[in-house]
Parts: sequence; structure tokens; C-alpha cells
Amino acid sequence: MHIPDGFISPKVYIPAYVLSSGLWIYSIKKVKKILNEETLPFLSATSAFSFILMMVVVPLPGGTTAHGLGICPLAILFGPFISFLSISLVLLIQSLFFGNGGITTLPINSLAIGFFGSIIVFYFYKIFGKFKRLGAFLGSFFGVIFSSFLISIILGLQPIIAKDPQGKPLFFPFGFSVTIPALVIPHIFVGIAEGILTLIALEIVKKFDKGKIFERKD
Amino acid sequence: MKEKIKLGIYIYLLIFFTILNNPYFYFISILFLVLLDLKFLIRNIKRILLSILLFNLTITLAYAIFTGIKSEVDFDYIILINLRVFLLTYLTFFFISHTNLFLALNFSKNLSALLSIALSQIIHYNKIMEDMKFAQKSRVIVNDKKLLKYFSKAEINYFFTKSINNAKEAALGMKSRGFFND
Repeated sequence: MHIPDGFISPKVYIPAYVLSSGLWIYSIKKVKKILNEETLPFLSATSAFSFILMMVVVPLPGGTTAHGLGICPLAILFGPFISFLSISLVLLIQSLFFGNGGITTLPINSLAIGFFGSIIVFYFYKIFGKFKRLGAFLGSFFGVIFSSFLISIILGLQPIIAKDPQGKPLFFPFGFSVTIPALVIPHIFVGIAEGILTLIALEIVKKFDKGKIFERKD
Repeated sequence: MKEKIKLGIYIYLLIFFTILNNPYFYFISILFLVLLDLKFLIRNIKRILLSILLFNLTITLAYAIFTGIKSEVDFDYIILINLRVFLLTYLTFFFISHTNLFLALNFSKNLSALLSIALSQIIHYNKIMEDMKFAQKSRVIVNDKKLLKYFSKAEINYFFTKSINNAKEAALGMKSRGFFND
């Protein structure tokens, strides 16, 4: 799902940076409030879990890749904003040290995966109340699907907004008719796998957490 | 301060290279970066090529077929996109190898602490994942789904146990140095 550098026009990634910067500043303030010797181990462990899932990559015919996100434990334990910040850090590390994803595309990947993905997971988990496992599974599933849909929209937009005087594309060359099915359909299967892995991960995190962070009310 | 200036130049160049859609300029910029540090090219060329190969090859082939069917293969676009992606990736790896990222990003104490801990965990677990993959391969002859499920559960359990324990140690170390008191 990660978009590398060079495929997204500045017309898209510069506004995305502006939007993300505001959300990052707000998220850093939130992290400051909750960061202590009890929360930090869980934050770093769940961030590393997200990284591991994102590194298991399957290439897709539309030109991008399918992979798990691992956002559910982060979003449930810490809320969507801290989850967004952690996922952004994971994406930053991936792009800088592992060559997976890009720096110009960082805010797009972060918003699609980290922000909107986390919001979906968080609210599904909350809405399902008593049926937390179902909420976590569905949240993870739809989080993946929606993130892939957003990425496909951003990619499909490129040949429309960034072309030379002859009408040739300058960045990503394929429109929505290619990007939406190429990204969303494989991510249905990824979403199911993500849901199953999330349930396993949540059980393990719960075992360690002993209700300290997991059952907090906010 | 020096590291922050490098970060600023890097960001400026990233934006500049994506605004300027000129393959000749991209080519000259790549040559310039190569000449700036030839040893870097030798050490990192494989890593750079591998990181862009999958995405670029798929796009290049798909677009070549797509335009080839319609009229003729659009080589201008293929050269432009491949040079741009190579240049931006080369620049990123070049920047990382010549900059202390933690000094460049230390405008927020919490952010840099989180980055250092997450990075140390990630590097460590990337290695563990590799080891686990080999361990699983060497122990499983047939593709049994039950075994795979068992391995996945055991791997996640091991991963979280180790990860949380390591991070707890780091957090206690940070606490003893007064990190959470400010």
C-alpha cells in the first residue's frame, strides 16, 4: 500500500503535509500527556508489531503492494491520534531505513493508514461495546479496506491533475478504473488476515496489560 | 544545527526535484550525487535498486503494454518516472548515510525518544523475523495450515513478550534518568 517517492505530484503531497503537520503537532501533545514508564513499553511494542505486519508485502498488479497494517492494538490502546503518530513514525523509519515507501508520500501514507485506519478501528471497537472481539475484527478489516481505497483515490487522481501539455502523465499514470480494483480487491483478503492477527495480538497485549491501559475510559 | 540544515536541504531538494519534470536534469543530479561520494554508490546501489525495483518495474511494464497497445510505447514517461524515482530514493539513502537523523529531529524530546525506541525495536525485530522465517522453513516440510497458525500465534506471542520486556527495561532506564519528570 505504501507509495514510493516520485509518483505523487506536489499538488497533492504539499497540502497533505500541511494537514498532517497539524495532526502530528496535536498528536505529540497527546503523547506527552500519556507517556510514562507503563505506557511506553506498550506504545513501542505495538508500533513494532505494526512495522512487522507492514513489512510482509505482496506485490499487486496495479503497481503497488498489499500488506497488513497492525493498527488495531495501537488504536485501541492509545486512541486514533497517538496511533496516527506511531504509524507515521513507523512509515518514516520504513522509508528512511528500509526503502519502503517515500518521504514525499509520507503524509499520504500516514493519513490513509495511520489516521483514517485508526479512526475506523477505534470507533468500530467502541461501537461494538460488549462484542469487543467482533469490533476489533471488523475495525481491522474495514480499516485496511478504507486505507487501501484512499490510497487508490490518491494514485488515480495523479493522471488527472498532473500531466504535460500533450496530456501525458507526469506522475502515477493510471486512473481510478485501474487503481481502485487493483488495490481494494486484494486488500479484502489482507483485511481478513489482519483481523485474525489483530485478535491474536490483542489477547497477548491484554495478558501483559492487565487492564491498566486497555480498559481506560477515554 | 548542522544536521537540521542538512534536513532542510534534503526536504528542499525533494520538493524541487518533484516540481521540475526534466529527465536531463534528473540524470545530471544523479551524476552529481554519485561523484560526491563514489563509495556510497558502491555500498548502497543494490539496496537502492531493490527498494524501487518492484514498484517501478510493475508500473513501467504495465504502462509500456498499455501505451504500446494504444499506439506506441511512451518512452518519455518511462525514462522520466524511473529517473525521478531513482534520484529521490538515492537522495534519501544519501541523506540518511550522511546525517544523524536523531539530531536532525530533536526539536521534540518525546518524538525523538519515541523514534529511538521504535527504531531500536524495529531493527531488532526485523532480524528476529528473518530468523523465525528460516526456523519455520527448516521445521515444516508440508504446507499445513494448522502448523502455520500454530507458528503465527507462537511468533506473535514471542514477539510481544520480548518487545514489551525490552521496552519496559528501556522505560525504567529513562525513568531513572528523570525522563518522565519534565
